[in-house]
Amino acid sequence: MSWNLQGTYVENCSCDVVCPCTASGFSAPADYDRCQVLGAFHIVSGVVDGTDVSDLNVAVVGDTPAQMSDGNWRVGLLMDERADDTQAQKLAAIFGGQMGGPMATIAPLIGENLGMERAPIEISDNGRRHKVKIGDQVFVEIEDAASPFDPEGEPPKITASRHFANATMTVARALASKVRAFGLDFSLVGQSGFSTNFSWTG
Amino acid sequence: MANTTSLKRVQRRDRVIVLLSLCAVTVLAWRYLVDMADMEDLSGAMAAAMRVAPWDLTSFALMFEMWVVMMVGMMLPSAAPMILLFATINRNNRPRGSAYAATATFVLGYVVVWMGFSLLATLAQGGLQSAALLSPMLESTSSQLGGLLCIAAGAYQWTPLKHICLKYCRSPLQFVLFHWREGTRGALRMGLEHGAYCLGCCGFLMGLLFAGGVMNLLWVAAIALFVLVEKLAPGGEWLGRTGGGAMIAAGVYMVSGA
Repeated sequence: MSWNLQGTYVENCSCDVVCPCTASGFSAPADYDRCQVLGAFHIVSGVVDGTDVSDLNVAVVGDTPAQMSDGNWRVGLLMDERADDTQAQKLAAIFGGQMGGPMATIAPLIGENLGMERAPIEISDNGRRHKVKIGDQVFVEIEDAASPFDPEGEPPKITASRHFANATMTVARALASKVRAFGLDFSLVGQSGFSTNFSWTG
Repeated sequence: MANTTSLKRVQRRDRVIVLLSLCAVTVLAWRYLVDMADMEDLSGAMAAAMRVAPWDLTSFALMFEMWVVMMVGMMLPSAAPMILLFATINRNNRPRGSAYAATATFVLGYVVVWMGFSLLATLAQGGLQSAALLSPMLESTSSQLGGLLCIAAGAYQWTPLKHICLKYCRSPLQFVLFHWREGTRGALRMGLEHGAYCLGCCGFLMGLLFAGGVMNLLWVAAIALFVLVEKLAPGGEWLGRTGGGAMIAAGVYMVSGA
């Protein structure tokens, strides 16, 4: 029952840049009434119980109280339509927190499971820009920040963030944003974004 | 250690110079506006320019100049935090050997955007005067028109576009993190971009000038103060939205009362 996933992660949430939840190790509340968030995972390579899940994409759509550590999150899962039933089942178990790893620490905070939908998911990384397109439900593009002292160099990052994707998160903001899934409907242009790599095992 | 201290002193001196320059330009702009509004002091040409339609090129140029000076006087103070941050980063970039650009270039870009707006405003003023819809104080003589301007300005306060523009105006740090460009051309481009956000934030509010009188200095100052608080004070977004509601209410009252 061992697994590992490696890939890239793109996030867009309703907070202003920089999202205080991630910047504070989830101790501070979000900037607005609710935290609305899209997190998209492009799995570059991964094996779950011997099943290859490389080059598949998964996205989570969430709606949580401003104080995220309070729990009562409402979370839905968008699953790559290219995943066969075995792959989908195994990925759903990982992202549902039933197979250990980072999502298992999130699971107790989820108050309502909004379900899982199959959809065509495209995630692309192009320099400082990261794009997520999920059918006609989601279109999000974020851009990493740049330090004025070194615009071509490493973008500013938050480390030791306690974020489930990775402790190190690159600061970004949304250039385009539309999310319509599981009865949630939000557009978060100009709001906070993060990009990073992730490497999970369980 | 001595070097650090002297660098700090230079940086502080730079900030003071930028701040004093902004103050001086703002004071001069308002001085000009006070003179302009004082009808007794108006030169014959100026008075003619404001009253007579259709305009000739001279009166158009005079009115355009007035709009530019007014926009500088109204908007420059609220852009001060952004300009100061630009100056600080720019000064810190110089010892690192990065391309250095004068803060004045950034400000120029910002002002060019408001010059573009001033051109439109002058044309609008000419049109309204030709249609005999403006008083000598350049106030709308039609409460329908005044009311519609208030409703438009108020409704715009609640749009997503306004929200995004205001966000960038209120957070110079965010602007700097996502819009930094090197060198003189970069500074000009950043000035234009920041000016565009600023225009997207406050352009519709300037329509209120026609509702309350372009030459009504108290009204001009009130709008400038509203912009200043909305952009710089904590919770300014909420003042913006509440103010928008009040504008709609006033506008509806003016239109229905006519």
